[in-house]
Amino acid sequence: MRLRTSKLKITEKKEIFKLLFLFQTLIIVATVVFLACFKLDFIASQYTFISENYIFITLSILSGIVGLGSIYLFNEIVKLIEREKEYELKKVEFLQMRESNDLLRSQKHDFSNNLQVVWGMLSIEKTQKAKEYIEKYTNILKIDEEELEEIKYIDNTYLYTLFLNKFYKCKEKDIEISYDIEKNIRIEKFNPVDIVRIFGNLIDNAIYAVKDIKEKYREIFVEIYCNENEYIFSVSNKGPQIPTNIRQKIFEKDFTTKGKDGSGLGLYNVRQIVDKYSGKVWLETDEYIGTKFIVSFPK
Amino acid sequence: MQYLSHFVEAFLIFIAPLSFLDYKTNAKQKVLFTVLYGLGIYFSRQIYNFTSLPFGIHIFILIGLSSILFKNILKNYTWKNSIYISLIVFIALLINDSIFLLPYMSIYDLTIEEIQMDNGIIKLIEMTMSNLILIAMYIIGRFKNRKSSIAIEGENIEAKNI
Repeated sequence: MRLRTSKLKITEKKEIFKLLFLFQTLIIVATVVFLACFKLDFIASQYTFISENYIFITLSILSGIVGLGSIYLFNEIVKLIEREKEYELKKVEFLQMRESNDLLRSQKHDFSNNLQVVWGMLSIEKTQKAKEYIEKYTNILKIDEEELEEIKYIDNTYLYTLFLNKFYKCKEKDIEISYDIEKNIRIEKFNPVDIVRIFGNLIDNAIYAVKDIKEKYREIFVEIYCNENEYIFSVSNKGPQIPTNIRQKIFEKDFTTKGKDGSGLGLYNVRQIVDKYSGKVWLETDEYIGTKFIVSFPK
Repeated sequence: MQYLSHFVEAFLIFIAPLSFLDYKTNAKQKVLFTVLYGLGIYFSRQIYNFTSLPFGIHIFILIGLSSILFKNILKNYTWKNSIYISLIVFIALLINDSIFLLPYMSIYDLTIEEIQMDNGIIKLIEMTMSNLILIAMYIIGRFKNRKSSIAIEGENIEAKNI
């Protein structure tokens, strides 16, 4: 509600400034025209005319007001942009929280099922079997230190949370996801919302590509590194090769191979973001190696 | 002729911006605005005969009057939009004056008073010159909106065929 009120105020201010600007333009144009009329003797002597000094004072004051108004307006616009950025970040945070929440909910559901299994085993006095089951189950839930080691170099909370969420999501679907992130890589020049969107879409697509294939091929590999001229982000999977006819349309709006599950916007959005930073996005696909989406941004 | 020019200008001030914005008006609205604003132009220009106000004040009176008339004659039109239209039209008219009317007056060595008192060809040319931008605005508006309505009609026909 507070956000809405302040937005309204900014819109109102903008309107007032637009009107003031138009009014000042009118006065300046009118003054110039009347000054020209006066200088060229078009106005008959019966008319009273404002002296030149007054005109120049008025014009100076008006220019000053226009200048101050422009500075104020510029300030307001900067504030508005910052607020929009904050809002975008909050949106990403919210989406990540929702994803974590869904994950927790599904784990809770599994947890009660597993408790029932353990309770059943204990009630028929198969203690050893129950112990083994608990060990197996805790192993599934556990993300070991080694795996977290791979993403600890990310100096970006949003990306870290995203990668952690994807870790859990993959674990749940028996997909092995690994990360190779260059140490101390600086990616602050990119808007975190954009980076999260790029990786979110690419990893989700990779998960979709491998989730139904043989378990031994369910692998996703994420890379972040930079060379002298560019930053390279890539997400590869060992899923099936993408046919040529799909490859040509894959970055187009509304194109999806996921049927009802897809929106046709994921890769299109990735391309839009990449274009914003004058970068490139392409894919390499092979029957044996799988598919790799590569994004490069100039430094 | 000198009175007629006020009403012609009033009529153009009403139809030109609205045709550009594709706002449909009826004959009653057009007549009402033309008559009231035409009279407004006449009386606002007479104020210099009774008071010693500096020349140019009538423009501000006319902006106020046109804003009031736009607001009250047009349905669903806000004060903000009425003031916008009035200001933009007057800026356009002043720019028009400096581009077309002032050179014309300079070439033929005419004063504002002479033009106002004339009833012949000088007045007719002045009337055309001072409203050129409004005439252009009207023609462009008509052309632009006719094109967009043809496009919409085309889409409708296509939609029907599908």
